[in-house]
Amino acid sequence: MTTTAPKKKGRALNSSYEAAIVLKEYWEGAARHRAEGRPVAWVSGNVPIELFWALGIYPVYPENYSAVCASIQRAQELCEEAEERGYSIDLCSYSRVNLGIVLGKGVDHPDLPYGGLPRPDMLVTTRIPCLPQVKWWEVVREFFDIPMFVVDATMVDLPIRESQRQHYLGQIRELIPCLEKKLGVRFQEDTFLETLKLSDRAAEIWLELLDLRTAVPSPVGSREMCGNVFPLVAMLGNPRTIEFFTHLRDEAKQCVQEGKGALENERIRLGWDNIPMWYNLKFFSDVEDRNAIFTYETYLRYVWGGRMDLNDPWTAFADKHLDVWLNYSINQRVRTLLHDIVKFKLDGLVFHQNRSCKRFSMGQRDLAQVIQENLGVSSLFIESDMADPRAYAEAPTRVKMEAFLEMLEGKKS
Amino acid sequence: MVRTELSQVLCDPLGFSRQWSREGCRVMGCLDNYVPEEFIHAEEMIPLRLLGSTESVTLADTFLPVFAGKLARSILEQALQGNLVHLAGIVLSNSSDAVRMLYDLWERHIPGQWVALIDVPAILEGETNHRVFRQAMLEFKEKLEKFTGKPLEAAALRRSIAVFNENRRLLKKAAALLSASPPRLSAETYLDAVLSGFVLTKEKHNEYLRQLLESCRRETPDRGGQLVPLHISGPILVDRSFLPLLQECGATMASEDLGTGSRYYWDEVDETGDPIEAVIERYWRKIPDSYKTPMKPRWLHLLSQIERSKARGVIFVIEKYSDEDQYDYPVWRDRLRARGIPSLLLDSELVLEGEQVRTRVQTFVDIVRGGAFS
Amino acid sequence: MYYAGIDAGSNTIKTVILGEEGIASYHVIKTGLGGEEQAARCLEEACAKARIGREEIACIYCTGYGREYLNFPQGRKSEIICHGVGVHWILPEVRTIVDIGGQDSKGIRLNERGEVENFNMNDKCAAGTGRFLETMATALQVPLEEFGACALRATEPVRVSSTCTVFAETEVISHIARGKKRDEILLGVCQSIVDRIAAMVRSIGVKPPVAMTGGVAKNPAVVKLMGDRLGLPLLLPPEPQITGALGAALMARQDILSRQNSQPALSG
Repeated sequence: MTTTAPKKKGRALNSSYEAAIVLKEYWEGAARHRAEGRPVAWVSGNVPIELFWALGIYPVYPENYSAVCASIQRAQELCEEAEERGYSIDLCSYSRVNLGIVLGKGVDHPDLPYGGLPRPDMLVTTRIPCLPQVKWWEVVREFFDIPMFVVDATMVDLPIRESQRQHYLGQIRELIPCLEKKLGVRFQEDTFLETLKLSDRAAEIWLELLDLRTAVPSPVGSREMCGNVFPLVAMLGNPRTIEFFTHLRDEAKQCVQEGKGALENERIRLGWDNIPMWYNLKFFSDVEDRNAIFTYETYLRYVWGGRMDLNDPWTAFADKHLDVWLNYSINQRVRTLLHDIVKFKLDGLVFHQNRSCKRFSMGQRDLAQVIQENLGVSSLFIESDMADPRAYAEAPTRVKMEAFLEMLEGKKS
Repeated sequence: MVRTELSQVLCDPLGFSRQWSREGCRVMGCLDNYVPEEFIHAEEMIPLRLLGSTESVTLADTFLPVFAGKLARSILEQALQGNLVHLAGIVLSNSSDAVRMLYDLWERHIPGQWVALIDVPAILEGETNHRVFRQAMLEFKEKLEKFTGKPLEAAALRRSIAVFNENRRLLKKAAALLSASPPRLSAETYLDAVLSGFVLTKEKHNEYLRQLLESCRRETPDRGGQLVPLHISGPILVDRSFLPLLQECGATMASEDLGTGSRYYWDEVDETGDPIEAVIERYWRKIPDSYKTPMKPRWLHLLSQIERSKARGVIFVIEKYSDEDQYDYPVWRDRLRARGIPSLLLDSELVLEGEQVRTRVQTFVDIVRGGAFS
Repeated sequence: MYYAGIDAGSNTIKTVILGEEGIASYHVIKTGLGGEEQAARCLEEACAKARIGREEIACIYCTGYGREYLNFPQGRKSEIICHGVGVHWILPEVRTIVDIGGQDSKGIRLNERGEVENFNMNDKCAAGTGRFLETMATALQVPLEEFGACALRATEPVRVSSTCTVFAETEVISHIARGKKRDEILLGVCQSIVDRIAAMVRSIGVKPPVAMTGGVAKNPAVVKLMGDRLGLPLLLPPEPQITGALGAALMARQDILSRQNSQPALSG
């Protein structure tokens, strides 16, 4: 019944090849910044990133670095370095990779990708994605003995409450003088507002790109898109991001206009919840042999970026940072997912029960239940980890995935 | 005699609280050290600390992955099994991510039960966080008032504060007797005394504690002197079989900084000034638990306890999947090592699984004593 | 005079009889349903092998999981301490022991007197233990004794996840179904054990030379892979399974000697 179409080789969008270049530029830029004696901060997901670009502080993302290590199959050895020092195997694997580097060979060991992680002058983190993030940073602070600032926030049900917004902004008002004082920089609102514009422009193009993936057939699958998202995390406010995303968007737009999909014979449309397995992005493209495509990810849509109404920049700035998937209550996640499944015309959802990201993984069973009951959309659960390959069981996962696809095919015919 | 009463309470804490409900008292389930129990008490309800159970989790596995940790899973299990229906309501504070998600799950799957989330920051530093912390506590107060239908009276709150403060002072006295050399209070009795306070009314608990302290004063101290004094640290210790095991291995708990121990009761409320503000301030300033920043006051508390008890080693009893404590452990271990204090890590899931724990503890005690052959 | 050490483990019970001249005999039996009776039988067999009567044994020490349930020993010590003493007696230069038993694995660091300086154990998971190896041997229909030798015939291990035994089992079964070479799967299983415990072992601060003990030390593939991982060759006592029981017997002897006010005579 199912005919296996010849698989398209290479990337669906040629512009995706640019991702590796942008990533390299970012890390080389960080090293250069450090070498020139300009301030470097280690930051984490959902920090007020635009502030750093506006202030001339280079924001270095150890999380991204951990994902990079995982993608080149270096994560396990680094995790083990951290475990050796007493950090439990049950802890977040991003943090284990990072602590393996920091407490192990050291951040500037020549053996590391991009020549290592530039040393931080300051640590800035937030509890928005999760609480363990803060604890991880405490360990890093213990090692480097440098100033640290943590932005707190409580979880949201949209719309965001005024008190939550004021909580966030109050802390930003404390953070700015703190950065000025500790790192010798000067805040200028004009520059900051300019940066916000660049950030919002990048987010706008990114969202257009994601929306193009509602098209049947979808122009681009998750494997490629997970490789493309990085500038949205770390380089919001940097013009290079706009340039790259524009290339992607334009190419995808053309594909959609021409009715050209990433697959020649797209039959099944899938969504993905949680952080991908960075050491195994192939997981996404493997399903393409069966004419299935991952065309939606909560991780790419709601964890980074987000639009801002720049008529009221500070409010918009706060809201953008609070309005992220990991900071959503379960009820909010349910509402959002129900909407998007219809919008992206998904046949099935794959939930990654990610041992390393509890905040993402708790509540997934509720989501699966609701989409089944309300929309009749089935889901599959796979238990694994975003960076530690030891948690991935290849064979049983494959068997499950194949059975799931067969089931979805059966439903369609 | 009072010792038996204390331990009896712990055989079936939920059964105990069910009795009150039958007698017409309202019992409020509380989760974590940042629930201002004084407010609940002043509103004439009985706060009951939810500590899960050792029974296996089945129903809750539908909603929470194993790595959410045993405490959250176990409490959800109790609720899904219908074992908490006698409670007037549940109060959760925004502590660990698992507990925060538990609130969402409660709203979705335990219909009809009143549940409140005290949405406090995790970062207890800075003016903004202080303001938000205070606001979250006040919101909880209002929610409570709406629930009971009567405003929180300053006079009633002052009385509650006095009762709670007395409780804290009595427990501190118990801790001092535990740390004395030789100990004037056994570790087992001390733990029972602390844990029973999560179940009993504070008035009744105070009465028992006074009797207990009185009987300790009359008794001549136990021979316990040969036991190696150890400090126990961790978020939660409810497995009472751990202390007999420790003793069989030649050691005893001489001090602790447990989340379900001194970190819960150590700090008092200022009895002068506005009582509502004083209660809020107490929770803002209390020894921060592992899921709160900063960590320094907690470290200083741990150190001062060790200094007082002259413990020769530290055992960390840490819940599996309790990330906050798992991150702290290596830092604490290294700082202790730098001071020449050895430590041991034990994994717990509300219970400390028998034989492996015995092997670890026995070996650790041998090492602390110096040499394998003593 | 004779001394006995009994290591009542989860899989096997080991008894060592120590005479004035060194090890007089040893015996290993399956724990089965275990209990006092099985341990007593093991002791009797060891006595028979040594051609002595049980009454000739001056002192019995017991170690291993079963130590608390046995009534006859005069002393009980944890297997960590006993492995340290046992290995130190056979290989006094050893400073680190990797012990992989049926139910748990341990890293033990010793000082020059054979005293335990630091140790660590696996968490409550069967991955990275002898039990795991046994289950896999059954699934792959390979006698346990041949497991390692077969594995070493493979060059490339099949990847077997190592954070969960249940996962790993399904995985191995489906590898079989997908026609992977048996030896490669065997090597994958050995690799997964090493992956699971290498960090735990290194956490104690490995000092060379390193010895491996416990039933799994009889598997040459695990020994080789662990050695590769630690970057050191591993020493093996002639009978790696009995070092715990030997240590217990030595402690029994020490007990009697110290009561007689003699000098410790533990090395030698």
